[in-house]
Amino acid sequence: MLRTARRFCHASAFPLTFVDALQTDGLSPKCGGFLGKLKRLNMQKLLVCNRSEIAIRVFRAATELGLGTVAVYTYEDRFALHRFKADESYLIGPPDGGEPVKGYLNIDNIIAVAKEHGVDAIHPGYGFLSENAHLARACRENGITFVGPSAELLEIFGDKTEAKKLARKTNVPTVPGTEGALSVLADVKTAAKEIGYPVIIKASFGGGGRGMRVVKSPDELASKLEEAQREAGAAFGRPEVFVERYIARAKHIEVQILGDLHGNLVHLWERDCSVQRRHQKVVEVAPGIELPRKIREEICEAAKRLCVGVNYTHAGTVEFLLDADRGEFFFIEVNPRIQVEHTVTEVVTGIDIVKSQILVSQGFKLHEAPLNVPAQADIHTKGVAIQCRITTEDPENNFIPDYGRLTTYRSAAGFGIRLDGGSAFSGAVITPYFDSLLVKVTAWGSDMAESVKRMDRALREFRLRGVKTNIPFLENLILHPKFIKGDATTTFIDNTPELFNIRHRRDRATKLLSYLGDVIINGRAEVKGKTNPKKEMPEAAIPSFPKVKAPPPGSRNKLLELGPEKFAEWVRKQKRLMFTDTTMRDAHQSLLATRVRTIDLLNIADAVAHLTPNLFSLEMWGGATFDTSLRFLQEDPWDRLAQMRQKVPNILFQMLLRASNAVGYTNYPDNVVIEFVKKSAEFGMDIFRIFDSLNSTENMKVAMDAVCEHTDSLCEAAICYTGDILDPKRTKYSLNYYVKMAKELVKMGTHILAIKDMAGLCKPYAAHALVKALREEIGVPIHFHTHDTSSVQAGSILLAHDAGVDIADAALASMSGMTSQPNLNSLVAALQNTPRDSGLDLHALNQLSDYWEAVREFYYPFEEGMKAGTAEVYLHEMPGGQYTNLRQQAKSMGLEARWHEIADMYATVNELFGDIVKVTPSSKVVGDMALFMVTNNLSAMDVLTPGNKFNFPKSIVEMMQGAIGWPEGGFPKVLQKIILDSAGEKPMKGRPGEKLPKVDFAATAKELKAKFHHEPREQDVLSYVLYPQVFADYEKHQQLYDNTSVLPTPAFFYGLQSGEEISVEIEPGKTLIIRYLTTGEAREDGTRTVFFELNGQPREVVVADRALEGNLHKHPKADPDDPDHVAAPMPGKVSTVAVKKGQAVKSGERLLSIEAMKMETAVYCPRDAKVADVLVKPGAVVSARDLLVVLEG
Amino acid sequence: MTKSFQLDVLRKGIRPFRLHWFPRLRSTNDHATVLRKRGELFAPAIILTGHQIAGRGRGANSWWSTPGVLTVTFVLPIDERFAPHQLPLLAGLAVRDATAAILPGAPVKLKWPNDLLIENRKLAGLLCERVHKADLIGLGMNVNVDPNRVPPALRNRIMSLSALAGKPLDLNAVLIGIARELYSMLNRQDEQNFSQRLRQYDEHHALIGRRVSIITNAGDMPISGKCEGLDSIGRLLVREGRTLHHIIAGQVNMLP
Repeated sequence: MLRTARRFCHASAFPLTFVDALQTDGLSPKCGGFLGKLKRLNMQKLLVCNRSEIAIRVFRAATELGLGTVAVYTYEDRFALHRFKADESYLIGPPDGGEPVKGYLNIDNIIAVAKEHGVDAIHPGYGFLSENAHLARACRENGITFVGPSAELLEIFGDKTEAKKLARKTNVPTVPGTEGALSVLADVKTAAKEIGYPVIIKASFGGGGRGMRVVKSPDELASKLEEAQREAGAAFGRPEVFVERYIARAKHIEVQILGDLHGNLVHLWERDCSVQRRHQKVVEVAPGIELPRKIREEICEAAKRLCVGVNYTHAGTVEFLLDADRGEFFFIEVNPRIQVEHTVTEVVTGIDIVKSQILVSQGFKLHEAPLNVPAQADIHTKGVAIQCRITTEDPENNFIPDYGRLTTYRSAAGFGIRLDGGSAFSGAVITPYFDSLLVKVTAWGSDMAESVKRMDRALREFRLRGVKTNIPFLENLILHPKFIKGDATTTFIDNTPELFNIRHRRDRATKLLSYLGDVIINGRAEVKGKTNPKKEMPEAAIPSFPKVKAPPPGSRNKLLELGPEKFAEWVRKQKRLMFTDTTMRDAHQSLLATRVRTIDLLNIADAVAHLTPNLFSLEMWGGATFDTSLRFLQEDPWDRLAQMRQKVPNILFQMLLRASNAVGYTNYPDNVVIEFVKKSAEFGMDIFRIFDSLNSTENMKVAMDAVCEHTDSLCEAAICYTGDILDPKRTKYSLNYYVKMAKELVKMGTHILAIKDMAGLCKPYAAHALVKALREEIGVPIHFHTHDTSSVQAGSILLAHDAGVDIADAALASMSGMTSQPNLNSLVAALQNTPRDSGLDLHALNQLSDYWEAVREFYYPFEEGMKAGTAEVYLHEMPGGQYTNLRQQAKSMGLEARWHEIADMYATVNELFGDIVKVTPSSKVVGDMALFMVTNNLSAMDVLTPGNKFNFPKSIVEMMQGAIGWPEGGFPKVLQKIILDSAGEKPMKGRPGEKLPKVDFAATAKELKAKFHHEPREQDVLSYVLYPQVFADYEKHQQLYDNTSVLPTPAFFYGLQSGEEISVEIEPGKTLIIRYLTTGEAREDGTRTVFFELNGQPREVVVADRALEGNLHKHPKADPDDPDHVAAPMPGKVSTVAVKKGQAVKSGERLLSIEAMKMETAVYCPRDAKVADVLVKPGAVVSARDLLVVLEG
Repeated sequence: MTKSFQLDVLRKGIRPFRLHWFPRLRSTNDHATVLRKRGELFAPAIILTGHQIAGRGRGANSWWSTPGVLTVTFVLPIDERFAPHQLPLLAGLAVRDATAAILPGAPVKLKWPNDLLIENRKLAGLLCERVHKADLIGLGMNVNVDPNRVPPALRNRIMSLSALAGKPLDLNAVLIGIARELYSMLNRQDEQNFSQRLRQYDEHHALIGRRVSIITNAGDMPISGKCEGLDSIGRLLVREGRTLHHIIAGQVNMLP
């Protein structure tokens, strides 16, 4: 605020009297502005008839001088800052607006305001009336001091010919050229010779570059002249031309002048304003960059000479063009006013030019107090100052000024930075009425390099949101080597396309707020109807551990030390029973539909590394996690793996790999499987548990070879357990079957053998028998995996342990049981004080379990509701993960009440399929078939009756074709024939993966780049190959909302409650504090504003309320590729419709007319056709590309 | 100074437009459409008549005409650089600029979309149409209208350039001036974008800040409110209570 305890602070020092003479008389015959004998003027109240930045600049100076300040403003400017920076402010122009700019040009009104409010001086600023002699004269006539040169001086410099005459008179060079238009070659030749080559020929009636030719030497003059004349003649019908000196590389150098009313005049050295766009200065520097001393002095002396010649007063600028190649300079014009870029001169000379203008007007002498401007010889420049104009011009859109609400405004500050702000503040509305300058930044440095760095720092410090700005463009500009070296000429911007390579600020905060706003208003689909807004989310406490030390060495250190083979031997030698903790993968896949987010894993990862280093491994990747994190959590699974690896360097990571299905649901070409394995190992994967859903070892070979040959990781091939080896009636999956398969896998090179009991069917005594038999036959470590659906599987682990199993899978207590793994904590306790004690810290495990107990609450909508273990699993043999999913699927189909029927049918289908191994993806097919049969009320007999044809789901047909391989003994021939005949398909031959064409990763990478406009990472290409649509959706989410994986889980799924505050770490050390305030009323267009506080500052985002979409009129758009669609060529109102549905129309016949702004546009029929539909009626308002008429035939 | 057309002067002055002169025509726009449909009219061209019998205005409105009214249609090739709905505003602005240049200091204002007003009286009206791959800009301008020949009902509603100048004007010079301005404006698309043009439009817009009523569809209740200028595509913004209407087409009347 500039309001001061003001006035008369100079009064005692300078006894002042009002002098009429100053205003009216005493002008020298040369119409200069000074007087022989001058008394000082008692100035008290200064009005600035200008707005924004320059008005505020003048108020600052006036306040320092103890003057009262008066602002004027138009209706549209009623909230502009300059109004509040003055002591008083008055409206000019119509009280209800309509003349936003004109008000500032209305001399009568301005003078009236001044007289009415006792103003005795008017400062015009720059632009508007600053060079208007009428204003200067009106001031004089009304006894008001005009802070600027006299009307007569303004008139001289307002007339370019007069100014040029003056220049010639004072021996200041002007650009040589012809004065009149020429058309005869001989005349042009003489003129060109006088001017000196190179010259430019310009058509007198030219424009847009037509009829312009550069002529470098006399011999090309004739031909170039003819070209120019022909072109001008054709375009404008007139052959006359002008000839001028051509300056190939022009720099714009200008000299600041300051003169008083007593004949004293100095120059304040020069500024380099070469960086221009369409003759508008963009960046200015003082002094001239790399300008030789001699030229500097000559140019400044010339400027001074010119001004002395007319007894110039006040501040003024003499502009020159400098021919950078020849060192010659030419006068352009004089600006008899303060200029936008005066700041740089002030900063390097230390002279306050605006204050000087006012003091000069008061009659003070330049070299005396209070002005105290040094003598010319003592005026020096110190260091380098650069000024950038921050505007709302969009450099990527042809510098069209953007307008709207400036939602955030945070400016730079600090040593060497000067800001001259206009109406830039948070909440300011930028209107289209005025120029788009927000703030001028001036950076000072001891040399160019320091000044550039300081400016760069300042520009990066700015935070402006809500409107587009030119800041990224300015950053490119000031850091460009050509600019820094002083090689930038007036065409620099036009000829330097790299300046427009705009680096987009990521603006992560706004994107995250948009996401939160969307969730707050629209919710997330997968939790809809299941959430309870009153539910209190618990605090997930992380157990304490010594943070300074690296985590103790664990299994991974051993693997890195020994390599996979030796490591396997080491495992065999371990006495203790080792455990894999499945909490981070299979447990949440089975209990919470795989929805656990990376942030919840990362939060506890450090503690796990420190507290449970004795774990054999952490299963934390693969299976459904890859798909789910991309598809439902909008997270990158690779980032999850990499970030986890960083936090847990000491414990083995384990993943589940579906052999040729990798982490997908279909077969992939072999090279995809190999690349996936290689990349996963590179990201830190240690153990690949590989299985085939039909136990086909042939299908497993590619993946196993990939692990063994291309990585240093462990290969853990799995036999999938199904049936019951203790049941003598079930002979297909006997003990022998498993032993045979295990031996084959060992032969194929597996380092560890896994028993994958995915449905929890391996009862305790079966587990004992199986492990015992395997232990006798194979030498590699055995790893037992089961699900506790029946709730007796801890018994299986203990009996397997008795039979000599090396490793068992279990989950932390709070994430164990039911369809998940047995309880790790209890198993560890059970083995305490026995010879095979696990060595794990039970207390630590309990603390980790407490964390997960709290985190599990975040995911409550995903709990499937199983309350107790069930022996039904032995009937349907459903895998743990599928049990949850199938039940959800049944529910969504309205079959919840028939769940037990579905479970029975699942068993029936298994029998129909010939008793197959059921695990993803084969289990999914069995589930699909069961649902199909229940919904259609089919029995096994119905399906098997010859001649019956059904429309079987695609997954079933594909399985019968062999798309996921062949089960032991193949599918029953009768059923296979019925299904394939129904679909008209034939079985495939051989292994599916080998016939699929190889994926070209380089080509895919290119495709991705074109699609998503950025260079994809190698892992992105893999994600895309595995899940093209899911990955595309994920990319879209990233572009809209950035990385939402950093949000706390409750906020991610359920949004925020009013007043709730969260902190979000977007990268190490960068934390956003977000508080949700409220949501605004719905607008006509179906959007609402959501109000937040971001780091304590108000921020808002606009979100479309999808609940309102139904109420909005949405016209379908025409498909540009559909030849039957006729689209609206422009927005408008349908005025007439000439055709009816069913009518035959000819090519070129008028279908209808659209009117916009009184423009009638006829829409014609593109071909002979029949009108299939007319979608609009007269009077309908349509947008461009709306579908109007559909044709047919 | 001449009050009638001198075709040789015109032919030279309006280049690159080709001149098509008809002593009497029903409507220059209609005739241009007919010629265009027959393939006999090449853009850029000017259809000029000395006496228009059945001039058209917006929709079903007619245009009253008398000697001294310049009735002409400019035929332009379709320019992909601007959308059809931008043309009426650009053309209106060009004709306004040309008129202001012919009579320096004349307070010529625009009434959305493209009527020209002087002191709230109609000086000229434009009717733009896109037909058969050409844009037509039909113009009727009161240049040398004898006030005694104006029907009394219109007398207070129209203005003639001659009345403002205090003497008759050279019709040829007026047409040449307008043709040049139109041609150069539509060829300066690369230099100035549409939003910059809209800002220029705002400066001369008679409706900003005024109360207006708009009939969008015959029989509907008119919208009345305060005009707040144009939106980014040139639609008229009218605030009626708390609602801001974006008007794309309609009959606009100024309210006192």
